[in-house]
Amino acid sequence: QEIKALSKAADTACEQFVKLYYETMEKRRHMVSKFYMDSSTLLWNGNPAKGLTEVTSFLENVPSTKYVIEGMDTHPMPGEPIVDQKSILVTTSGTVQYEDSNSKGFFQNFILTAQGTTWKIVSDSMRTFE
Amino acid sequence: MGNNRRGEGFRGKKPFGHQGHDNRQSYGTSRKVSFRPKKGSYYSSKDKGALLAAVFDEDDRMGEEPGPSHSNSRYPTYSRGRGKGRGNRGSFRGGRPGTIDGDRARKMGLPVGRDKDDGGVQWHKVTIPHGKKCGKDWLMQNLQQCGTPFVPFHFHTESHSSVFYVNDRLQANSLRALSRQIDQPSGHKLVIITSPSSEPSSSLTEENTKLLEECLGRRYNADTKMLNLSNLFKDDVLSAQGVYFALNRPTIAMAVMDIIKTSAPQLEILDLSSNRIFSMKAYRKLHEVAPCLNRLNLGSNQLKIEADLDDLKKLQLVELHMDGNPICNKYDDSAEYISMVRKRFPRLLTLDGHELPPAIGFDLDVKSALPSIKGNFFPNDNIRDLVCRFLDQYYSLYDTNRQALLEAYHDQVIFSMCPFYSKLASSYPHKLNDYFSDGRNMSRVDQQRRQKALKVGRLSVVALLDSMPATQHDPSSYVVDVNYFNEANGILSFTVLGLFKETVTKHNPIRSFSRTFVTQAQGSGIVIVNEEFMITNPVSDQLKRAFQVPAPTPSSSPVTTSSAALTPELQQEMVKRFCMDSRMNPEWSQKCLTENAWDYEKSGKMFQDLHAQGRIPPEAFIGSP
Repeated sequence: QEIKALSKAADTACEQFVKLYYETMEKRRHMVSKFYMDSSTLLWNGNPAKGLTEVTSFLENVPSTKYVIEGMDTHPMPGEPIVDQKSILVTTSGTVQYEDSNSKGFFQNFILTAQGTTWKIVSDSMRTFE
Repeated sequence: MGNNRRGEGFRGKKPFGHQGHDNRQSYGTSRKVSFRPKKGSYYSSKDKGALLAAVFDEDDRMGEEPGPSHSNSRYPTYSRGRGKGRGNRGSFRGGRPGTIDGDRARKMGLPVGRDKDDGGVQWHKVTIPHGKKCGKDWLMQNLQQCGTPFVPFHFHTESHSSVFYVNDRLQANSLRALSRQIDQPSGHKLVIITSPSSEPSSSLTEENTKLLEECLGRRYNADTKMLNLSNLFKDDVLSAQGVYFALNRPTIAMAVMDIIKTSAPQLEILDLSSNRIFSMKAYRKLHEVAPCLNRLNLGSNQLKIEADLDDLKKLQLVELHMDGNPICNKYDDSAEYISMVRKRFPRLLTLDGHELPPAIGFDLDVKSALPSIKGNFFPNDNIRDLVCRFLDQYYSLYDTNRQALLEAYHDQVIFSMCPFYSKLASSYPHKLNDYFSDGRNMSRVDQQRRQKALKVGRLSVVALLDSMPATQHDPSSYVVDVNYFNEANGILSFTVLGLFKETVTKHNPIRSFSRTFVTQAQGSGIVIVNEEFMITNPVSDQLKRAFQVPAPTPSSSPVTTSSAALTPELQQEMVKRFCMDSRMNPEWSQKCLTENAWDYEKSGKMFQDLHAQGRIPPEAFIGSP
């Protein structure tokens, strides 16, 4: 029962997050730092970035981007494993187009954690394939 | 700068060698090393002579233009006044009403009359009715009597006739003069018909493809990473064999790019000049074939429109030659021409031999580039060993005996599977139907299905995994990223991307997957506390690479897809668990599970429904733990 409630909350957070995050990446890239926190890590096709500054500077340099989300799923992570806060795992997949290159497929996953009343990204990991 | 263009300084900088035309030009000595053709020209002196003669034959505008432009008149640039002289073919360009120019005619497949764009080469088709029965050798031997040496291109038979092409009007005339002069073995006079024709192109038989490969090998300089395909139709070696490769044919262009891709992907300099190329469409993927290519010579072709350059704009060119193409004549103003080209190739430094003034732009214009794609990511070697060992064990069990995976999962694991179709793989014919009933793709399924598809507890997780189609994984396809690691509490999260094959499903479809595991330290190993499993169809490149490295131990996967085949141990554990959840005794718990094919959740739901209706007898609860 507890998991059911957690799962519902995770679903809601995930749906909002996916919509906001990819919209921000596409249209308001300068705001993307708001999703991350000091200890965030990012992996893009095996290239790591650690900490808010590195992560946001990496993302701000990514060429303009267009996403199509084709698959999306989320879980609660019970037991508060991440810094003793409520956390969820979000996975997405679909296609991404950088600048005017061809669309590539991608898989991405995030661990989100609730800091007070906002969700922040603990880890962001993405792979493209074509 | 427009006026200086024809001056000495310009000529001295022309970096590509236009071999065939050199006789009339005294280029300076300051050619860039990178563009210098290899020693030993591709063109014999005879070729040069023939070409030179053709140039004079054609160039009746010679006397009409004032001094300085003489030497460069073969290189129409983007300057005003080019091609306005009387008798200059240029004036027919752009379509005198009622005429069809040579290129259009050629494109429309019409035979072309006196088109001398290409320095005097004029294809003629030679047809010898009833030549087939004379045989090629006999014909070639006897046709030498015409007195003009010729090479029969693309010799073939069309019904009873022998057909070949010659690329010179003189040769064609000499051959025609021989008509009805020779007796065939049958006694009839040999009839020879010639007609002007569009260029032939040798088809890419296996043998010809080999010739093309050899030819490219000869013309590639590995030191300078330069491929010189200038005047390919004049290639001595190919001509001697009667083979003619037209780089303006898409099939030939594709074949050339295939060869570059496999044999010279590091190519930096490509010379396609003087090949009568009228569209660059076939070369659109050049940037993928040769990512380092940055100097390109398209000089003296038939490119007319800006879209031809659009097809190439993904190349990061620093040097480009376009002179001698009709498109250059469209621009009266050199600044406009330069800006048109630069728009497509912002990094261009040299255009038609001129150094371009550096463009002044904005900081924002600097294109942000993505870093290159790297392999697996592990924060340290310990974690690498741990994760690799885990995956090794996990997948060997997954492909052979999924029930044994129970140990890999935490008691309270949360799991879901998310099948989805990717538009990139829309042509893949094998549907993912086996996965959708338990799938939890939130962009497709509603709240109720989401609840059902979230699997909690290792029994229901393993039961679900066990019900999925039997597989064989391709370990060489794996890419592993460790995305979260907390030493303090032993939480480790990693993602595996890869491919598997369904071994019992009809046609053995291949699937692409991503599995994100969140694990907790347990003893010397790890157990899974969260897992998200995404499944989709593979894209074509993945399919090409799939299972290319043979599996080290070809497993004879004992295939069990039915959950009725659960081991007795697992069944016992499920019964025990069901007793606790339902408060029924083991006997009734087992009955409920058996009747619901050992689907834990289905059993649970059935129990709840019946219990709510009061249809479960009290004795079912007697003796429960």
